[in-house]
Amino acid sequence: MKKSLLLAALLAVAMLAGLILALLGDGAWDVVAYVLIAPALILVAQVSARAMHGMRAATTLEQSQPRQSAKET
Amino acid sequence: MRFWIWAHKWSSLICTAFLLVLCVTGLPLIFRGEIDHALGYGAGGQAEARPAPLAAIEAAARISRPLGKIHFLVWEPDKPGVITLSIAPPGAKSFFDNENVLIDAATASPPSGGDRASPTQWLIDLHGTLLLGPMGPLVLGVPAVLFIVALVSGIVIYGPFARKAGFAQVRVGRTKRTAWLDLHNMLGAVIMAWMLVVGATGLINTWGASIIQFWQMSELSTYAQRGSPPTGKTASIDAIVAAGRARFPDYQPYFVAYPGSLMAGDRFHAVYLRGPDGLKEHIFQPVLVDSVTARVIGAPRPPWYISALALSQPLHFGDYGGAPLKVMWTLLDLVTIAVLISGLKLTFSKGGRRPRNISPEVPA
Repeated sequence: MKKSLLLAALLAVAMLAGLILALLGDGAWDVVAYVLIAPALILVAQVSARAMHGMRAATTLEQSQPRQSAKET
Repeated sequence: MRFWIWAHKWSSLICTAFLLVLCVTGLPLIFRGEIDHALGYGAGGQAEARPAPLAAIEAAARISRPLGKIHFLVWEPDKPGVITLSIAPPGAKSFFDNENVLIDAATASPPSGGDRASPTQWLIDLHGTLLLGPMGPLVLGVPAVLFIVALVSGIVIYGPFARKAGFAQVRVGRTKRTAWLDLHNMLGAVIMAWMLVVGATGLINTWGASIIQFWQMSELSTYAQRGSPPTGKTASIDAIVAAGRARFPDYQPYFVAYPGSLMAGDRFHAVYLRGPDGLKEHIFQPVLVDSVTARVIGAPRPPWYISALALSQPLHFGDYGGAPLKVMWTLLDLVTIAVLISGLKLTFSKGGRRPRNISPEVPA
């Protein structure tokens, strides 16, 4: 699982680098900064979608659980 | 680990209410310039027109606030063609009582949108002081410190979990509470670096007035004796600014601090200039000009803590990298609000009914 921690570290370093590079000037610096910051936002969108899916699955599971219990009794 | 969980829970709980206010008020402040322009505040300035003498602008501001004392004259980057004057009303106890007056730089009259500060100024006061005046920044310093404690403790708690389960994983087929927990952890972990930067720069900004006071007492005050006694007639503001600009011809004026204000001395004006590009554009360069003779008495290089304060402003508000960066800042702010709300939900919801044959949640 070292890979996952490396990904976390890379995301953090890219974000910090992006925030600082945007301070250095306009034009190309800004574009590089956007490219460095964007992965975090893309991952946020992916994670949110997965969490929504997880919540829907959990709701279905929690709703089916009492029905099963009632049948068993 | 129990200590870190305890530290994360309580530091987050105490600062969450403040952070929600700061995140919500911070959202429109990212687009402050655009909002002011859309509302017509400071929109009437003519950026390309030949500027009127600064003395005429001063005079126009004095007509608007005859009893006030001018403390700052500012060229705001997001209000081209308009000059903002920060004026201390009679009986003002601190900088926080100052009122802003806008004057058209070309015509030396109030701009078409009116000479008063826009409603976003109220948002800035709420965001920066919670409308508590000089006490506000001190009060806000506490949640800022707690926010950083919450972030650091969050990293310590989440690290071992991510090592086992993987980074940014959402466990499917568990309880709803687990999904909320994963959402909270993942969002927080992904934007951790941004939250640390905004939290730390927010903390520095809350100390801004104290940092400047320290600089004034420790360094600027050493120039006090070099100026002429404040008994003579004050030189024209145009001559003072021209003297300052002549010292750094490539630089643009940012603001002028008048004697009696936080960032000047009793005997000298301080003309603050901004560099042409890069970091120099954000870190201002002061030029101290004798108020009577308009002679430059010094151009001290700002110390590191003043430079840090100057860089904290753009890094906190995200208004330094064009429209795309502002949009990214908005999204990151919204994600922070989601982290705060999911944290509240996890704290105040009961453990949740766990379906059978499902292992307990990993605490995080």
